[in-house]
Amino acid sequence: MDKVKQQISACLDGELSSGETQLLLKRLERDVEHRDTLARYVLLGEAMRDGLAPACLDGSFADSVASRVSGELRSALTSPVWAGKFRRILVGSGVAAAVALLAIASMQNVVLEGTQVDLNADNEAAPISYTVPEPPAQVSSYMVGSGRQAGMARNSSWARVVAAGFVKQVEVMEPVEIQKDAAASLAVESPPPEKRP
Amino acid sequence: MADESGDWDLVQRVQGGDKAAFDVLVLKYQHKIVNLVMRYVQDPVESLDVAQEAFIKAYRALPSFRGDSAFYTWLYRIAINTAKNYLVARKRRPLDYDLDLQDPQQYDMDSRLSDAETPEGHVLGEEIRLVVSDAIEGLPKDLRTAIVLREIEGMSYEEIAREMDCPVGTVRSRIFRARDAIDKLLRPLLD
Repeated sequence: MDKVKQQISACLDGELSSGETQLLLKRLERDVEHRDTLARYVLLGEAMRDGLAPACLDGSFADSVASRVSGELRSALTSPVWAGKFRRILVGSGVAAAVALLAIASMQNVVLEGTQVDLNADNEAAPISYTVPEPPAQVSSYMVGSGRQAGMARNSSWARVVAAGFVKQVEVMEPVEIQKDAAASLAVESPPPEKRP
Repeated sequence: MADESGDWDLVQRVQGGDKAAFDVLVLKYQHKIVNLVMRYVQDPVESLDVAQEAFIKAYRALPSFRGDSAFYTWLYRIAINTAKNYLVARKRRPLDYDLDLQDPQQYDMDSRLSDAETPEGHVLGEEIRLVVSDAIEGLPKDLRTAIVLREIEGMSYEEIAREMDCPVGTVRSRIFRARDAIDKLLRPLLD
């Protein structure tokens, strides 16, 4: 006599002990054949009661529900209720880091603190010049503020890197398009006041 | 009743995160719920969607299910509400008679196949009924009595044991042997 099939039969009738049920459920989860046996035992009972639903004969209905239940579990694990907070911090940090890197990359090629820079010094094909906005502390405080909004501590290493990016020019290099754009983006007015909770 | 206590055990496991337990509940009640929904919705394809939605709603609501009623009674109500809401959304008038007033168990005994089902499904359903009917007629008397008392009368193993004047373990064995014998004839039809 197949012991597992007997347990399936008893489980269907609500007559299986709790311990046996636990073991059987694990078995049903990994063994399709035993799951099909359960489905057929249900089917023969419904046939006896003249309660068959032909749409349920091929097993696809229960499979569809099981698939959707698995989807529900996955959604619960990535629920916006608790993942949103982390997502906001990650996004904010990502934006702040990207802007900081862009600023650092562009600052390596220009002179700061209000001096006029001619980016065309070594490139006649790119007629552009601009005045670097001052004070750099405003921009760095904006960057630090953004970082703080994104979860970075004021004195965190990231904040120090951002502030350190606004130092005096190291050397003037041949300008490239992205650097000109980055420089133009630095010509900003005072950042909006940081919202306090 | 053992069936209800068995369902409650499965419900508690689902509440603890065991989706295999919910799968068992779906397998157990899928025919009843699909037939119930089809009485409202009529269309076979739409009925499957609505019935599926009813099970998913039940799954989502299970954490708050306290067992004040039998699980199937609770599921039955969810299925009816889901079907009614679907009809309202589709601007179809519900049927004149109200299935809400029927006892869920009694409804199951009186259910009939809907005319909206596909011919192929209907034919297979009839074949299955014939095979099962013939198989039961061919069972030894003690096995036939046990399976009929269980599946038609809905008696618990303990009640059947008293009726047949035998131990509960013997009832469990007889019911299984009856199912196994019928299943051997049924399986080729479904493979």
